[in-house]
Amino acid sequence: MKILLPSLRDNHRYVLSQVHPVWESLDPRDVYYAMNDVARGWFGDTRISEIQPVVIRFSPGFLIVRCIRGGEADLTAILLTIVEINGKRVKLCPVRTSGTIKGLNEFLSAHVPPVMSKQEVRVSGTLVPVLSDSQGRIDIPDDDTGPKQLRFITTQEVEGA
Amino acid sequence: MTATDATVHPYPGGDTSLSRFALEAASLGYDRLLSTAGPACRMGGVEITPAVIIREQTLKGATRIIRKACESEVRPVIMVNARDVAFNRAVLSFPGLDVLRHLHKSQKPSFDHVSARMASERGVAIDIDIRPLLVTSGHHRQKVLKTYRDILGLHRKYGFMLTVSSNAWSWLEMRSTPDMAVICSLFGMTREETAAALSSPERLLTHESPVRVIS
Repeated sequence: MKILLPSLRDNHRYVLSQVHPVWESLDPRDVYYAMNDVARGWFGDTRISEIQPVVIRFSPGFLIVRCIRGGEADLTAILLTIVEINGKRVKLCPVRTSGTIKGLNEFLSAHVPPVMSKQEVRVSGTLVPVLSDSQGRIDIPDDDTGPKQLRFITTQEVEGA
Repeated sequence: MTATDATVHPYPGGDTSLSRFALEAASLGYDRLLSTAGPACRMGGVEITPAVIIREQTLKGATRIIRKACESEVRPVIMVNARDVAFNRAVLSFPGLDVLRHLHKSQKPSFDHVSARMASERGVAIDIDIRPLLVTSGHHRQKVLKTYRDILGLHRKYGFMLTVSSNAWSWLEMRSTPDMAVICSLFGMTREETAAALSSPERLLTHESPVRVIS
């Protein structure tokens, strides 16, 4: 296949998005399917074929998605309205749009996300394994807890903190 | 201009504690949360204001709870889930109501120009709940979008207050203030209108009403 001249290629935009909770393990393929489903619901196949959203990179806590220039506003709306990926509740927050991946990498290196560390704390009289960060966030990543269970707390709720 | 999320449901209703909601709200650009659980307080730079949601099917039941809430020591923000046209008009005329919400859940269009004028005159806000836009799809979401477009049209004509709420049961369902503007733009709300809607609970709490020509 003949390679297109740079001037004839499509101009892309790359959207960097935070993924919450940071400890949730996701398959980039599932992220793509979820994004495609939501995009089809909002804009239809015609617009998706114009935007061409593609997952470029996924690492815990961050996601880089590519689209055609001019489609970044729609892509942002799509990412914002994703609430579930393969049965896992997530939240995607677009934080930066750039014309190059290098630009996003520079942004990422300057804005290191808070690291969550494993520990055990006592909540409501029970010792539970949790993930916490330096800002006081504590997540209880227990798969057995139902939707009405306490999963996201701060150091204020920890007994003896 | 302050920003308020007009409904959050902390634990025990949801899976996130009130302090975590406050922590996340501060990082998302909010100054105040209207919370269905917990006391009135200030946490991590965010003002927590109690809110009571009335889900009664009958007008008699709804007015009884409104009256009771008005008499409580710390008056919460009183919200009523909308029903049919007759219910909405009657409840709008009842003193003490602050916010009418869930207009998208009515079977038929239940908020018309008469209700819009009443809401404007009585300083009652109409809530735009973004949760159904995130969790529903297809026909249901189309109906919600249509209702919100209609409300927006009436808001532009009659000038009643709007509030924007995440109606979040988990902090994962909260969106930042600029992100709210992006989501609201999907049904035609401008950035300025979203900013005004996010700040309108402040007016509800101070009971400020727009300037009116009386003679």
